[in-house]
Amino acid sequence: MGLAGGLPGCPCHAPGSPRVLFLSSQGASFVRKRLCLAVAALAVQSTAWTNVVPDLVTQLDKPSSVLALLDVLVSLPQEADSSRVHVDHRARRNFRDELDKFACNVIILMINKLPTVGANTTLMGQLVEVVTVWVRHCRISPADVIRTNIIPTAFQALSVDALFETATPLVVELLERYTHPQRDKEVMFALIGQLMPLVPKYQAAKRDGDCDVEREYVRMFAAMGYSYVDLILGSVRRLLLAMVGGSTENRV
Amino acid sequence: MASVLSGPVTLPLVRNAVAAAYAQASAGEGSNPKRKMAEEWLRSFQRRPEAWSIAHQLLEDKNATPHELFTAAGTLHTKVSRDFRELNADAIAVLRSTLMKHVVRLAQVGHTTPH
Repeated sequence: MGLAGGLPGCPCHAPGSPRVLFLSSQGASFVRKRLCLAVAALAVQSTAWTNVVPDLVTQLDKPSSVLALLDVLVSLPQEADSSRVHVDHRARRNFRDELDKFACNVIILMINKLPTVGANTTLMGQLVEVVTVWVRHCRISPADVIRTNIIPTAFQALSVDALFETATPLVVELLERYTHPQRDKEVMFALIGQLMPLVPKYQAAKRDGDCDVEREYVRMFAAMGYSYVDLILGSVRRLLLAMVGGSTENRV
Repeated sequence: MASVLSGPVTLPLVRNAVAAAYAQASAGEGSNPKRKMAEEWLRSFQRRPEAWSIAHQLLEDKNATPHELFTAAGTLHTKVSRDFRELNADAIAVLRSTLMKHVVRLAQVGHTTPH
């Protein structure tokens, strides 16, 4: 395959130089990602292809093809929601239902792979990205969010410098999707419990002038404040009622 | 090269268009009219039925450049997204198996190269 030759038109990419190896890998990655989008677009429309997710996992979950597995898993939910894929409403809905059905399995598969990739933070970042995309596009019940350990995994990734920017969108996604004070209470309190202890890290980033890290923390805290308005107002309301009730009792 | 496709589309014509589109890009001439013409030609090519087979030929070609491979992959994505209905059941099965074969092969390129 012609990926070993680097990019044309640039004399610095002579064959055999390390730069060419890098570009070779990167070039393969670009082409592979586009082909995985094609596979996903085909899966959305092909009614004859049943059990798409287990089928792809069976075919690609091998050390030699794990990169393809991750690319195709990122692509499936995106293409299911893409208006560029010309598919009728019913077929699209059926495919989305299929993805919802396997969402927990995919997330557990990704989370279980994290400890097995050693120090390869690129691969870890790709695993986290798959989880983020499936949380963003699929319906996962609050109980399943807790059961699959997405939240501790997201914050564990957040504690690794090389994964910080990859993990932030996952935390933000969780903060923005699970916002009902009753139905999503367990998820919300788990997120609050993990995020609030990070305030000193935000303050340290601000103090040290680390703008990139500071911005990511601001994203998360802002998402929490914005998404949890009902929860916060509910608490304030209960507090006010308690105060009013208390003062009324005092007067009585 | 004509900006709008009228005659038959062949593999050498597609290669020329890819080279023109990326040569101008490499030279940093983003708004160059030749590049725009090449890109427009490639967009027209992607609407043609022959694009299926030419994209496959490029992906099978061991001497294809990275830009040709990227264009071929993008063409297949566009065709599957937009023109899936052009395919019968047999063609869909072949396409699926061919795409998987390419995806696995490209995963091995990334896998064997140090990060």
